[in-house]
Amino acid sequence: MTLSNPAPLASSWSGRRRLTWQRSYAAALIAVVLLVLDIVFSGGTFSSIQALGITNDALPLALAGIGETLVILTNGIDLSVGGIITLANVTVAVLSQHGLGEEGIIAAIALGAAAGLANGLIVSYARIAPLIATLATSSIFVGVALIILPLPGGTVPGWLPGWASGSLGFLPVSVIWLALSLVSGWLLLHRTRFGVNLQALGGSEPSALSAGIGVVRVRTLAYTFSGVFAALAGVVLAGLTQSGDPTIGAPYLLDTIATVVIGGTSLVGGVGTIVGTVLGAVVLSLVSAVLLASGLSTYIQYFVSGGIVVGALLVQTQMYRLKVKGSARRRHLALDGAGSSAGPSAA
Amino acid sequence: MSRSRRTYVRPVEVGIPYVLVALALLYGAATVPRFLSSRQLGSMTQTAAYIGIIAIGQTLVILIGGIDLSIPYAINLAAILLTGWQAANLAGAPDLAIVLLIGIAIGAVNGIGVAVFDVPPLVMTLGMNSVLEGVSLLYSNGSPVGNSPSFVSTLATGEVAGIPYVVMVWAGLIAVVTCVLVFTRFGRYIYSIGASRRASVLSGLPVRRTIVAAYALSGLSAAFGGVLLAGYSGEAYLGMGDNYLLPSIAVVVIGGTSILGGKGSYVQTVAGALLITIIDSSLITLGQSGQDILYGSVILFMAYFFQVATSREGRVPRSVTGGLRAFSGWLQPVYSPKARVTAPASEPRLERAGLAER
Repeated sequence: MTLSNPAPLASSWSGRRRLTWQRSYAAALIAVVLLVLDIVFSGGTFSSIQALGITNDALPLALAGIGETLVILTNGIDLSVGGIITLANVTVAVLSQHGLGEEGIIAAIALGAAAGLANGLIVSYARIAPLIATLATSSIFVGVALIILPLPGGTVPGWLPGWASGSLGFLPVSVIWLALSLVSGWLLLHRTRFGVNLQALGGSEPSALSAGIGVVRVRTLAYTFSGVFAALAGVVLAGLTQSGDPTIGAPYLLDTIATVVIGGTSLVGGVGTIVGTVLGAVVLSLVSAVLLASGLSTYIQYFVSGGIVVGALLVQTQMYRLKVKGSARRRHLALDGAGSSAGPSAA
Repeated sequence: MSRSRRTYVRPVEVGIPYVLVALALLYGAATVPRFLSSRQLGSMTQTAAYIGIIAIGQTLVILIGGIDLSIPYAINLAAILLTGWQAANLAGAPDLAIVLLIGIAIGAVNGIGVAVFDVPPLVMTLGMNSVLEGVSLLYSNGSPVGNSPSFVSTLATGEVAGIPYVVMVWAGLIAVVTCVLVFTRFGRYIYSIGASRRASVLSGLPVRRTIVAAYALSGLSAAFGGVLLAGYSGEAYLGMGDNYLLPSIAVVVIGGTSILGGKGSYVQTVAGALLITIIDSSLITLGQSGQDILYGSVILFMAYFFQVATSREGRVPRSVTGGLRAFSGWLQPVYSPKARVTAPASEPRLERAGLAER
């Protein structure tokens, strides 16, 4: 009845991998369609300014989304991404105002790591449901950010805007950062022991436990990485806006989850790709670019982004259901097993 | 019968939040002058009533194992529609009814998405919140107009013999919701589905209908909250519901209702609403930042408290200090014989995760 893990559907590792990658195809397709729409609405041209706007929008989303992907892969959720973005953002702005530009950025990232570690410890050791734990810590992070910087303001180091949002000739710098974050996220997930353990944990926690994986540490690390990536997003946003803002993280609550979901990552853990998440970020920023170019009311943007998230998940769950029907009923028992262990009530 | 009821709502769990309410009252009385005056108590229960009424739906949805994050803009849309229609000279009781029906419809769409199409509640309701935000902005064109109808303002702010009308309404709703949860089939279905949706399906319960109904009631209570808030401030403004998302979940969790569903009650949520209001008003100097930190800390503390107090083993599953100690192993050199000896074998690990009993 509930969403359960599709892992048992694929008979071999390569089959499972194929299934995982297929989930990001939809995001790629939507991105292409939106790109065409954007070009059509802006009169058949695609200037480097447009590209700059889109990738600059996508970069903080992608960064925060990569961290969130790691957490969602563990069958958890991090609702404090917006809070950590805000915290990092105001830290950079305030410390830079006091002449501590580079130190401020390092402090912001360290603060993000500490905040993420706190989330991880609370979820893993105090065993509070991730949803509640991160919602509560998010409130605390925003409160602290408001103390650091009550009103929008502050400065950023002079070089930061160029590094975060400038362009090298015709190529936006943010494209390079997007590629770098994609590669580092992929390496983290597929080429480190932590990443492989993370995927195992998301696939089935009891199996991961019996395989001797330090489930608790892996989960704690996942939240810590989420904090670091969110802090990076906050720093990038400081570069984009050239100031600090204690409310800047609020929209990222929905947008980060939207990014991950559009990228095809399953919300019940274990299945997802970094590529999908980065594509999801590009899709979301293309949506606002298309709406802007089409001259429709900007209010529609909320409507559309909400609709896209729900629609993406609807497609995901229905496609999964079709696959279940399509695959032979002999797998019924295996599915039952996966379903009962994935449900929170089983513990 | 009584035995099975006890497993859903244990007297200890209902009692704990009320003991904390009493303690908070004592603390307030000791630190704030005239804290226990009838005027102060009246205004505190009135504040608690707004949160409490909005949290009715959140309680039901959390009991069923879901969550409703669409509350902020369900509140806001209801308020904007009510005052907008008043400005268009359509004011009256039918308006109120239509606004409440729209609330039910919003919740029902959430419920259908969750129950029929298996969209995870978190994303379904978060997406719905975004959609409703768009609708609110489009309808009001960025600046809501009109005032709340006079009878709504009276309902929201009036009082008789020192008791605000809202508090009376709330008292009635507490009785109704509690009776529904304890004595009706619908209430039993909610606990059953929250405890195990799979088992409920296999037992032949109308699972989908019950889930849709729970979300619809959440939409209704949010819309009613929006109406009351519009009456309270006399008008509608954008973002008026934003400050109710966290509290609506906070009061449920503080009351001790399990976020995983199946365990808890509305009476506990009432205690949560009272507790958070009392703490809020006994720390009067708190700004927005202090309030944010307070809410977060109280939620974390109470969630951990109930996690420990109600865990099946009746003891701390894993202490936080123990958790930090687990990381100390990373700093030890790998050839240290101590590290090898203390490396946890797989069996105790299973035990700690509560899996050994299988």
